[in-house]
Amino acid sequence: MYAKFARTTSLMALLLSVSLGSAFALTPKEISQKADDLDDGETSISETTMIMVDSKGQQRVRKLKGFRKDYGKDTKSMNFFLAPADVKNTAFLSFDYDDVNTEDDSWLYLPALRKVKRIAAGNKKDSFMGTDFSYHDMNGLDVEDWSYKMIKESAMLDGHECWVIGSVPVKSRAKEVIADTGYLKRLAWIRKDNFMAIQGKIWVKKGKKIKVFHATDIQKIQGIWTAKKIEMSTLVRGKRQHSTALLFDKIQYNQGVEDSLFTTQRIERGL
Amino acid sequence: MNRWFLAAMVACLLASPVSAQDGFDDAGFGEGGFGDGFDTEISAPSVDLDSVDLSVEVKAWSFYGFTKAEIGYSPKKKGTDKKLTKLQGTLNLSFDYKLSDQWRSKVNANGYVDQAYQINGKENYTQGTLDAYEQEFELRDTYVEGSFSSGWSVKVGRQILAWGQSDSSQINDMANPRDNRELGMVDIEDARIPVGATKIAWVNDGLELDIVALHEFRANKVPGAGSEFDMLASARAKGVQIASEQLPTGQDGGMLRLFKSFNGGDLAAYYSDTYSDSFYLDLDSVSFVGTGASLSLVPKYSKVKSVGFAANQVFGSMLVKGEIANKQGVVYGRKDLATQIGGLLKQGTAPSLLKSKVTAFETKDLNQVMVGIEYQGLTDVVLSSEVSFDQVKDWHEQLNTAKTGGGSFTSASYNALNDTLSTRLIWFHMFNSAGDVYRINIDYDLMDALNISAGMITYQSPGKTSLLEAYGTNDRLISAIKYSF
Repeated sequence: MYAKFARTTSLMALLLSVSLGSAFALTPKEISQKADDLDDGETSISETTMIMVDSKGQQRVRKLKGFRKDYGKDTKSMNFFLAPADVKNTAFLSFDYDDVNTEDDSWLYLPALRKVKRIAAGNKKDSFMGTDFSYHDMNGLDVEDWSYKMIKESAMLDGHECWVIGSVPVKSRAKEVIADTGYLKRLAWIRKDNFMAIQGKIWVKKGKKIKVFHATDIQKIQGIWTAKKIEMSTLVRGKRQHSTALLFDKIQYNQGVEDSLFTTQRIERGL
Repeated sequence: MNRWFLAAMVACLLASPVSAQDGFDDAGFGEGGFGDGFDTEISAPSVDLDSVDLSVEVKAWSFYGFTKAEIGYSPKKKGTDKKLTKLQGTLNLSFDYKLSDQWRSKVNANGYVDQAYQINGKENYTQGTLDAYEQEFELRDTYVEGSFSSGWSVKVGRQILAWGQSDSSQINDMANPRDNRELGMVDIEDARIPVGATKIAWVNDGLELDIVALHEFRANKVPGAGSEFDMLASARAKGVQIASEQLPTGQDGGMLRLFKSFNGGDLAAYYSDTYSDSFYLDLDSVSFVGTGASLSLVPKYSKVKSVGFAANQVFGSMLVKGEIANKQGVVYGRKDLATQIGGLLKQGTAPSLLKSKVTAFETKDLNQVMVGIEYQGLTDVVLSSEVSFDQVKDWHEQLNTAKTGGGSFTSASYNALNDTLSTRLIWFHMFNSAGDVYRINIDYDLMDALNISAGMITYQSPGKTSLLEAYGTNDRLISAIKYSF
């Protein structure tokens, strides 16, 4: 999950050589496609601290280690929970297929059960492990499912010039996309220098909620632009209900990640 | 399904946010199109990271566990039966040590002491009850595991295999006995009992072959003699003596599993030759007091060979699963022992020869099948249901079992408040009018390491001859607080 999330947000400029002149000529959809296509390496290994904060400020902290490997356009990822004790050794294995007609495969290992359980991951608008991220947030939304509009050609955010692009589900499949994602519309602040989405706002159909996304502490790691901190907050009527911050550390791209890691046997053995 | 359980399940589903009133219509948002515009006002990042330890340390060793306090209250108990049924303190400790990148070890120990018996007065309980429930200290998962060649791994020690697809019945899950001491109250994560074994596994491209040699026999944990869940209470009431169980002395047996994952589903084949975890009753002795005869029966365990298959397949938000097995060598007691003994005595058989002349049990084949679904299409709700059927081959009326049996297991879970609050409703229905068990459980994470829970379990008997008729006063209110470290 988190590795998939890192993939969609791991902020690498695919076309660092794109000239400013040609960038200006891009349509909102082309910009969004480039943001979605950002290179995240063939493999990645990283350690994550997940902090969940409720409306009273009470924190819950999870620590994970994640592995990801691309197989063409498909991706396999494995994540192990390291702490706290009540979730230690829980692990999540996921095969995400590019072909929309192919169901993704997901397995969850629950150490209390000592059993690897296949998960029916059809409902991807659900919260991932109680966080403010949905499974769709982790895996990324299909660019083709949305229509795009330039809201602001130029906006400064964290010292970077951004496009502000709005998107709504394409009219022909609007109900289907909303039912699948749970989202009515989205706003994204995309940096002009590297096509990274560094801020977002999402209108959620269920419960009159707004989700707000921020990517900060952006660094170039092994030539790949990477957001080391990602935060998603859920607000109801302007009041923050819950927030989740993901902090990535010890990120390694394009290091050897063995195929044998992505097996149901390995999920059971643990890290 | 009884009325309160149905109402609770409906309430659970209504609590899930699938109502038609969601959405933003009153806020002016339509479904699709840019007509409503975009409010670009956005709040700043809000998570305060100053107090958070951001290090992710993967150490060679880790020591962790939990402590739990549980209380049980039985409102239907009357007279000398005590309403306080549990006041238990549990300590569970785990130590993991990574010997190298390829090898690791684990030691897990669990122990509890239940003060309810002391408080209620031990003299009010049978020794069997005290032995079964008052305290326990146990070495659980304790093993060394690692890889010794590409694709090959080994795990040696006490372990849980958790094979098969069913969460409620043992069809191909033949390695581990279960804790059946309190019907319906032991969660599946606590129910499996680890056994000493060596597992060698070979994995290649989604295909896994497991070869298991068992080194230890452990039986199901059963209700204590004379306890409120005593399965043999009716036999004891008729004056039948139950002797100490006779544990098997032969080879513990072995198991094989071939498991294949493919896109959308898993498929597995199983073979096992192991001792059954459940006892059968053999005739131990017949004694005569005055004009009457008294039977003594002894629990024994038989070797069972099992061949089976299990599979699952995902269809969108639904997981469909199934299992099937054929078991050979399952032993069933006979219920006509008194008739046989009476007949033999009439024929002039000497009392000393009765034991050898009486047929106390028979060995039969058993076919088992389970089908089930898990549905996750409703936000924060998981619905699951399993139905299992048993059929005894060459059954006849003198066997102390029904020709067909089984049951259904249905549960509805709802998670709220970012997974800090979870509610689960469980309904276990036993076929052949044996009865129903209903359970509701609510868990809440007070903070990261501190969880509280409360629940209720009730036993419903459809008639005087029902298996659960004797459990009519065993309904429970349960509560627990658990601290993980």
